[in-house]
Amino acid sequence: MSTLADKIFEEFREHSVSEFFRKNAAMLGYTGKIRSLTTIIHEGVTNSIDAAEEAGILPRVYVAIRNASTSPEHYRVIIEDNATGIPEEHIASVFGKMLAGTKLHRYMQQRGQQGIGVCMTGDTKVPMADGSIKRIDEIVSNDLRGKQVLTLGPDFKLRPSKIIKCWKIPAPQHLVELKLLTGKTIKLTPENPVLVFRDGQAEWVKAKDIKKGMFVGISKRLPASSSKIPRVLDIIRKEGLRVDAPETTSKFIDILIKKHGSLKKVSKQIGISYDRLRNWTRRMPNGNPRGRPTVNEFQILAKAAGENDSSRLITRVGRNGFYVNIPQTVNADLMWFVGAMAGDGHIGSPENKRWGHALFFHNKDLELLNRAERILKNVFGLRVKRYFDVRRGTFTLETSSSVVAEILRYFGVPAGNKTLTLSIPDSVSRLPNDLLAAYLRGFFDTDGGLSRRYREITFGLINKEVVECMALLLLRFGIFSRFRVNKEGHKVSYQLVVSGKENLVRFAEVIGFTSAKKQKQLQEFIQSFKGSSQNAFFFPGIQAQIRRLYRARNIPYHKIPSRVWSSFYAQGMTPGSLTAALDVLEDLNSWTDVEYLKALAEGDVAWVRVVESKLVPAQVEYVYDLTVENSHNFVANGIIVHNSGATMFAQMTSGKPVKVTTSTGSGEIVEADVMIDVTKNEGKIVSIKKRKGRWRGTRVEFEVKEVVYVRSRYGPFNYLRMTAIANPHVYIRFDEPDGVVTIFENAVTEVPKPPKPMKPHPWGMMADDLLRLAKQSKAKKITSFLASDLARVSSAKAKQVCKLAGVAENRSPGELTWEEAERLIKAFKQVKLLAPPSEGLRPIGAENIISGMRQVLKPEFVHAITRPPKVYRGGVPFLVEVGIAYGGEAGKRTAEEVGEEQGIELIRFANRAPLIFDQGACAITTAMRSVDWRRYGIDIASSPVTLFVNVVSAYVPYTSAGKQSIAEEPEIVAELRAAMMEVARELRLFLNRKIRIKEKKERAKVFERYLPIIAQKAARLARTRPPEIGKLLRKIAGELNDAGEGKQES
Amino acid sequence: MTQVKGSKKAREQLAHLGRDVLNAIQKGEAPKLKIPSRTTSNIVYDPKHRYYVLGTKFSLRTAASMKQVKKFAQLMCVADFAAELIERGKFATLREMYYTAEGWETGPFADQSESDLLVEDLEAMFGLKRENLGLMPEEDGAAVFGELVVQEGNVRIDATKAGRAGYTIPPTIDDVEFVKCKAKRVIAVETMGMYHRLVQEEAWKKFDALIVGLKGQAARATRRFLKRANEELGLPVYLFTDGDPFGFHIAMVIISGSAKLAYINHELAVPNAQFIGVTASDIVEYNLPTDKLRELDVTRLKQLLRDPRYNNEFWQKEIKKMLELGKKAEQQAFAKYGLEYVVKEYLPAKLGLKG
Repeated sequence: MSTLADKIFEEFREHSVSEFFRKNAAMLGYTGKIRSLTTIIHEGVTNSIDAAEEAGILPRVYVAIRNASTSPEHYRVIIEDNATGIPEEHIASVFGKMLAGTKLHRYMQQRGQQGIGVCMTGDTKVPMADGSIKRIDEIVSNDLRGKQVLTLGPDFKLRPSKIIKCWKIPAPQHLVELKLLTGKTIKLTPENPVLVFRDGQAEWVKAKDIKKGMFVGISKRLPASSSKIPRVLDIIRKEGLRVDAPETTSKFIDILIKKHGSLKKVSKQIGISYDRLRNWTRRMPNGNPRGRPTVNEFQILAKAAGENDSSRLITRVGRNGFYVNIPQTVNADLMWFVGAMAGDGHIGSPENKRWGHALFFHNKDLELLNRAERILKNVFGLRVKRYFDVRRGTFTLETSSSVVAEILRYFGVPAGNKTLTLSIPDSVSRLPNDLLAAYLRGFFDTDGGLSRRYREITFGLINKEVVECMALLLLRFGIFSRFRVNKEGHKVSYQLVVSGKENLVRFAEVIGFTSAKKQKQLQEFIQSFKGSSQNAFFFPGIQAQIRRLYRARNIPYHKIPSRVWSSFYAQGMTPGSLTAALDVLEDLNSWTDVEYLKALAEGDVAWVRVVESKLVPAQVEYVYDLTVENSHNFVANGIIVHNSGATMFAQMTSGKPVKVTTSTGSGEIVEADVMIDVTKNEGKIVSIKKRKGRWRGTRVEFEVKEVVYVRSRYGPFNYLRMTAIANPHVYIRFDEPDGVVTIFENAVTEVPKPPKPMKPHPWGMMADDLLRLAKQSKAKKITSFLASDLARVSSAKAKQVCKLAGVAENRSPGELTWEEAERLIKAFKQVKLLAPPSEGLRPIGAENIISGMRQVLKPEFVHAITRPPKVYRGGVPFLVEVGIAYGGEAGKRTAEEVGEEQGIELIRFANRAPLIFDQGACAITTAMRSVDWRRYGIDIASSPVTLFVNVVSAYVPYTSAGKQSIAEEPEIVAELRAAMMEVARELRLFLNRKIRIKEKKERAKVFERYLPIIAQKAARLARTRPPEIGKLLRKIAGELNDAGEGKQES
Repeated sequence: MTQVKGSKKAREQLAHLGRDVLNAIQKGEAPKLKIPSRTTSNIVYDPKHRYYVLGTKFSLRTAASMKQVKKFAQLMCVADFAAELIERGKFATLREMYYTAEGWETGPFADQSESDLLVEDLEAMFGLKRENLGLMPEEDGAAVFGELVVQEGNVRIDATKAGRAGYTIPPTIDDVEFVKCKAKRVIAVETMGMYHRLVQEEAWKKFDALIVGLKGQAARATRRFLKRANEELGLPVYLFTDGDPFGFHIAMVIISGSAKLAYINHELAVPNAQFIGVTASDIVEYNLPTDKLRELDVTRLKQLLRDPRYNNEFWQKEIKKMLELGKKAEQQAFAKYGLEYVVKEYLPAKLGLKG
């Protein structure tokens, strides 16, 4: 027994926690707290059943959900089974067990071909915690795990958090494009959760559910920062770079000669040729040294001479005889100059290398010219020509230095025409704030403008990337800007607009303008704003909550500040008025709600209206995603999105260990506390205890937070009920938080035969599936791996595919790269393959469905069919099972408590796993709606009918990774419809019988009531005794049995 | 306790009904009732009797039908109620019966029209008036003034001494006995205005007549009174109405009965009554003040033209003439020539008493 258990848990180990989250990303979107709890129960129960089945044990599962504290969203969950138990050495992987997903994954690849997606396009910009701004594809392709991005905490503050995992996933066909009032756009996969403000609360909503007019969360400041001030020397290419410090050089050589005796000996000691050393000390007629050391040589020399901090002494460097002064570290002057050059500078084309790069700076503003000239002269010690360029009508500063050009290039200002090559690289965005401010000032001095009419600062460029980056850089100072696209004919330019008092004040304080005129104008703008600040941000609809709080605390009217009053009649409240509103509420007993609002008011999130939300063709091959530690969200293009992994299990378990009690039946029971190691995504045993006892099974007990238990269609109760119906051999006991105990007895005692393991067929695979298989494969060559581990692939086909994909076939499968795997998958679609075999289909069986439905629903009538296998998409086998139950507890009974409608209840299954969510988008629902139920005597809205549907296939075409709905393949819909009509016909026969019986009963009742009256009255009229009417009654009822209605007209 | 004429017969018929039903039940058969159909298709004008009668169609009500058994039982309840009324010599209005039904085993009726219909069923089945079944119409009949003495239970009434308003015909007119009558004719007038004029002018004396004020469309009791006056006392009946389609029809309903009550028209119609109302010819002849015919009048006149009851030379001529004139006149229009004119000139002329 223990060997089997070993084997099973070997398999479990293969599923990492993160893999589970990836697979269930959409389902775990955790947009619904109800859904989370159901998902957890689902994972636990499915594994328990599978484990027992595999060992031939009739599964008995016990599930309990209890309140863990007075907090309504805090539960203790217990899942216990009677399966083989977990061998001690595998207990740590209980998380794997909990989260591995159904074991069917191993036998039947359930992944849909439509791609999973909780992701965004590659060009999405992600601000990193160090201030740099990276494209998400760059993060993923460089595998920047461990680096920090900004993530939103529960206090609505952004803070650094580590990237745990990077995802690159084939793009779905369509993406959702959200366009915000601020001009920002972002493309996301439809399932990607986005932070939304609704009903006075922040919540995660899937991108596809975001509609025009909703408010999404954007970061209004980025608390990124860096204190690392780069040294100028590190910026410059060292090759051919000489240090111009003849006095120091000579001094060091003198010291060394004294130390070692002669220059020759010095040469030998430090490994620099004698001639070079000698030249450094000799002077040319003009007083210049005959030679200068390279930076490296200078450092060696200095070190040998006992000077450890040699770079301090390097103040002048150059190439080819041209030398410039360099500051020790990057300073504000330098960054201002870089910014100014980024705007109005020009660097001579790179071909002109020999003479170094000519640098030009054009401007009309003398103040700027003077400052630039001063920097070139004083900082770099360059000679600068200034002239008036008649053609341009501007002044020009001209100088030449390859070193300065290099510095500029390092900070994103390239040589030649920089219109499109200009960039704001990490070197800029990772600067400390003061240096960044200097850079921005330089850039705004030159390319920024002031609009008197709109009282705003504008910044326009053709280069979109730069403008987007600029917006994120401004956010670091809490300056919020809008994005605007200007189209003039074919010419498209992009503009950033900084407006609103608060933003302008911040700008003036932190960045400002060099030009006194501009600075003055900016001040005038600021002063022209009257009264309280106009704020672009507000919290839509939050006033209702404030009013509620006021009412609850009996706040008298006179205590309410006027700005709060007036906001009651507006669309929302500004952070200012919200803060003011909260100040009134001194009472801190109501800590949570007030605190929540306070956090909201002071948080880093602004809420911006969505002006457009549409589905667009993806047009990209891949989408990307990051998994982020702790809060699992990050800022992408300024919008706060949830990463795929959603709430990690570790977070939900509220940091407390999972208590695992297990025994393989060996007489020893192991109790262990297991924690999750977030950094490794692995389980870790905290403590372990053993005791004697005869028991076999596994009991897992843990706490979950931020989930909600309700007894609705989406809750655990209905999930277990559905499971019981589809698995009549399973005994399930369920304890609800309110103490209600429900037992779903098993209706049959036969354990279904475990399915035959099937090799996966290439049609149903994706690159990562192939990679995983390749890593586990025992084959020596890629071709033999393909031929032996995949279904319907011969060696010849394997060779053909490798050739098509350009994959060298003789390597070990373990060496297969992601790209190669992708190419192979593509190649498989180009060659002819036999369709997957259909014998692997594992239906529940009509008998079992009937038993299950009868057991759980106790209906008056039940019927089920298992249809023969069919194929869709030209060869993928599937089969359909449909059951129908009438009366008893059939129909939407479970929903009663939450006031949902009665009537026909559709319960969906795929490979006997319940499908609970996304019912509207499912092929099964479509098929059900296409049937005219009235023809079968069924009223969708009121008949107590439960319709059971199970779709069985190794390749169920799910619509999304959540695997909660089946794509509308025409063949599947048609087959479902036919099957539904078949069972409906049976129900109609039953109903017709039922109606006849009912009518007969009703008739009898009518006659029983009225015939005696007739007889009695007749007797009184005739002045005799009432006659015996039993005979007549029987006769009339008998007549009706056969002939129905009597004659009415003669 | 008085017994209405015919109520004995009615009680016997009810007993007969009970026996029929009992017989069927004892035979183990579903009892059936033949009820004369009162749909329009079954109402025929009988030119011989000069009034409407029911045709020969019947509908069969059977206790074997689930749809009919309740109605059947209700009908039996109504019959029982009627039998009790007859036995106790009491009268109840239809509305009273409707309320009494609240306590019946069959449960209350949805509305009064339902119970009224059952009474009509019985009337039609037995060819009896509801008065015979102890049920009476709500409204009083008309006023009578003239030399007539009647016995109402213990009370003897002289219709000349019942005040100026005259003797009021009770709903239970069949209960009333005519004791003495000096009058030689009956003059029924449409409006109470004309009635009072005739009373004031002592027309009853002058014409030896009983003056009857119809108060518009004649109630069942009034029609019954006129019928009895005509048949029991042998008095000719004269009908003096307005010269408009409604006046014509008030007279015609008295003469030929109504379609709705076709099943008892033999108890109500006074085929010998004579119309002395204002005609189109009179309008011309007496040059009466007129009103224009309204649209409604015109349609009604056209309907009358097609009505079998008006299918004679006199009516066809007068109606067509009125349509030609496009005018109508009230009976009080004669006041143009002085208040007495009607008594002095018009009525004598019409009654053929002049000269």
